[in-house]
Amino acid sequence: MRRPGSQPLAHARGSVCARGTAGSALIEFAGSLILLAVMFAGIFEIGYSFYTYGTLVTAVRAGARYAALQPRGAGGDPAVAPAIADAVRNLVVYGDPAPTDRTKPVVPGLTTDHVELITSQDASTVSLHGFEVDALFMKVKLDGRPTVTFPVTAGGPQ
Amino acid sequence: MTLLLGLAGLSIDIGRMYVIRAELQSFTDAAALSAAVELDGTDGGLARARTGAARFANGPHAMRWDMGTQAITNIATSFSIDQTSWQEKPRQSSDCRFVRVAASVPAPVIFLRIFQPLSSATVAAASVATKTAQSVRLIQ
Repeated sequence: MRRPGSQPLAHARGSVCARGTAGSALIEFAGSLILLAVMFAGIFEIGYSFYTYGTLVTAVRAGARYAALQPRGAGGDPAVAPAIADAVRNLVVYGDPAPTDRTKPVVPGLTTDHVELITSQDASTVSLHGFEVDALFMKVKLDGRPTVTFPVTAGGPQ
Repeated sequence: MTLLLGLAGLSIDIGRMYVIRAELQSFTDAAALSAAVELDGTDGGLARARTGAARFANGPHAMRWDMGTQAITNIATSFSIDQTSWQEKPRQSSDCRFVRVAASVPAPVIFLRIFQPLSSATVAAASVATKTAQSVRLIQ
């Protein structure tokens, strides 16, 4: 007699209790999910910015080196020929001085307009101007960086 | 959770160090070439090589580190006859055909402090260039 009478009560108590736990677990899960998502997004952003900047340093270095090996204008003119300057910009942006595929820059959004080339008799400087690294939520504006200068080494290719 | 954060933080610190290393390597490559151009078997040549190694760390187009924000100051230039022993001030300047430029910077760390009580870690890069009769080349 005792058992059948107590069963509904026990059942009701158990279900109230279970429902309450499930609700708070859901709220906790949602809260931690938001926190985790924000943290992972932040980590992704910073990681992606570093990765992109590393790629840009390598690309700009290649451009500066290439430019330093090119002949200068005649009669002490420090400028290189316009075709060579274009080749340097292409090398930085597409990884190739004469690219066949101009749809894939080394970093998304990079164009030859962002690449600045300064040549003198004894050095070549390549830098990026006005380029923004487009990470998830923030944009890292790169004006004048990375900059790489290579010396002109007389006496043929190195 | 702490482990997760620690690992993520580590990857940020180490990623930053790799960027700094790439910047320093570009600098030492250019500096070593610039120094090697000046090698001519005289003491004056060695002095000019030292100046040449540092010239891209200054001026309006200076190469920098930490995503192009900090000036490179710690630059060591050494010379060698045979690439086995390196001397900053060699006695026989006439035979020095190799020049090595090393740069090191204190890279700031944020998350690595969890494991070690340090505020920065040294990141370094070095390049070796040589001058032959025909050309100036990077070796390493």
